[in-house]
Amino acid sequence: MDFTVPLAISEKNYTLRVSEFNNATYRTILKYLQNDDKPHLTKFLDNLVDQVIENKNDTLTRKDKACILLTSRSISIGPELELTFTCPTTQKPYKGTVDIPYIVEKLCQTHEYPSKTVKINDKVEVLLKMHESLWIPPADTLDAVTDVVSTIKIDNKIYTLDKIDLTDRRKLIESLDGSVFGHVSKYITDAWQAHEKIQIITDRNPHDPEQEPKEYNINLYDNTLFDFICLSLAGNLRESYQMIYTLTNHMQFSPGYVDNITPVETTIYFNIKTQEIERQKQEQQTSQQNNSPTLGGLGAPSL
Amino acid sequence: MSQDINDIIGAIESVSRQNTLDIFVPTQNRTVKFRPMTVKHQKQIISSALENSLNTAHFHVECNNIISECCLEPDIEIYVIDRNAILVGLRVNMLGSIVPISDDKTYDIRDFYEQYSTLNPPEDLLNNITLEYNGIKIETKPPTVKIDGEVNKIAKKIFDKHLEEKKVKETVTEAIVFEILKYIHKIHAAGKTIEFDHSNALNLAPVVEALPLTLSKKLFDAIDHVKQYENSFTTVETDGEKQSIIIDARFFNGD
Repeated sequence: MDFTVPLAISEKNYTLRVSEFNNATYRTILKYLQNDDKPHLTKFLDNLVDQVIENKNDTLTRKDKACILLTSRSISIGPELELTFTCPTTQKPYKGTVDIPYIVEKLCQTHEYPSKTVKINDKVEVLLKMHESLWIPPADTLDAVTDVVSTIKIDNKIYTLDKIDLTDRRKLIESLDGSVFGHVSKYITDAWQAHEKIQIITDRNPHDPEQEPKEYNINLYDNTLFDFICLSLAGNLRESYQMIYTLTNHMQFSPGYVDNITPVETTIYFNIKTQEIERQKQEQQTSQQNNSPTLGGLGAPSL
Repeated sequence: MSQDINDIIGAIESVSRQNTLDIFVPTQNRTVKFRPMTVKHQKQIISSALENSLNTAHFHVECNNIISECCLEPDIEIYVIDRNAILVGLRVNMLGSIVPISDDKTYDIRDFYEQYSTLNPPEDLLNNITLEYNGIKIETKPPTVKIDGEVNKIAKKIFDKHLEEKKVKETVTEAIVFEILKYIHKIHAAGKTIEFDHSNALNLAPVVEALPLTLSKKLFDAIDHVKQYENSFTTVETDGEKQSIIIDARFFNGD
């Protein structure tokens, strides 16, 4: 049974249990990130959300998915995200840390923009609500319209769209009376404008006291939330392979076991091995010093 | 696509068929039945309007397609002169009559729109007009949306290529040639007649470019006469000044 932690879905008043993801999953994420393949990374992360939660019983919004992914990231990679900045004046690097559980807490406390019913004519109305997709391609901003239409009521019959795939859903929304378009784009704009920005980090440059602190924020209603998730998952693919190599070749773990443990567990094993090698090096140096020839054939003085 | 989706689309279309709009079409001098534009039309029109301010050919192609798809009397001939009036009609009936006229100003076009039937077209508007200079005769007539669409599809490809190569001057020059071309139906010169097949606009462009300047000037005047009437459907008076309603992405966004 997987290790899980609780996550309160504030908007819906229930608690989910979120589990870790393993090295094999993390490597796939790193490959998509390396290729900057956002469409496929989005699909992969959507599937990952379903894998890391128990008892999914409701449609998840973008905010829910983000909280789940960041929580899973916290327990699989670590709760802190370390960022490296470069001072523009001195070119010296400095570090900043983002506390991911704190960001999840802030996200959970942030209320989603209220859903809204739009009456198109006497017989048709649509319900608009928070985005479900983690990422909307910038070139297809008009597709944001498709994403917020949640149900369609025609002649008092309600059709729920959450189980319909995006291509069919797009076709369906496109057949609606165009007057809905203005309402939806206004809903999205209002939500974006009304929404409180969530501050993730304040960049305080220690090398230049003149530089004003710079705030980095995310918004639930644009792609900045997805960009932050990507940033929190970023890592070095080569280092990841090096760790696996060390664990399988020098520590005799089976490849299957290594693939199934979390990245943070891998780092722990790797650090143990590194410390062990360091200790052995030191012991070797000490023993070499102890066994080195002494002046006039005299041994080292006993302490 | 699953049967469920087809059922929902069927239900939407069935309701849509019952909600027809009466839109005034100037060259018919009466209202014509249209079905409302769909979200797909809105997306097409907005994305084409946002494409490139120097290349409006695609935007006009989309407008023409939407007019043809929404018109419920397929046998009538719709002219480019009708386009602004029909687009304003669809906008007012579907998205309301408050339209943007500048970055920070809006205008309620309803009263003006309801006066459309009083904006009588010039008598000779749809007649063939013959222009002559030095033995060269040109027969002109306002283009239909079909001709406009045929020429614009070809023009779009050429403009896209020019703009990719940053040839702005060439784009502007050729835009004028393609616009003139739409109004020409026949050219008689040296005992020969060239009948303009607008689907072959690319080959007709050099013919237009070779016309004598005096004849081109006469052609510009004839086109201007038509354009003035076409623009009268989007020219309003506000604070004692004439102002043009720009039909663009904002116009169809329903703000």
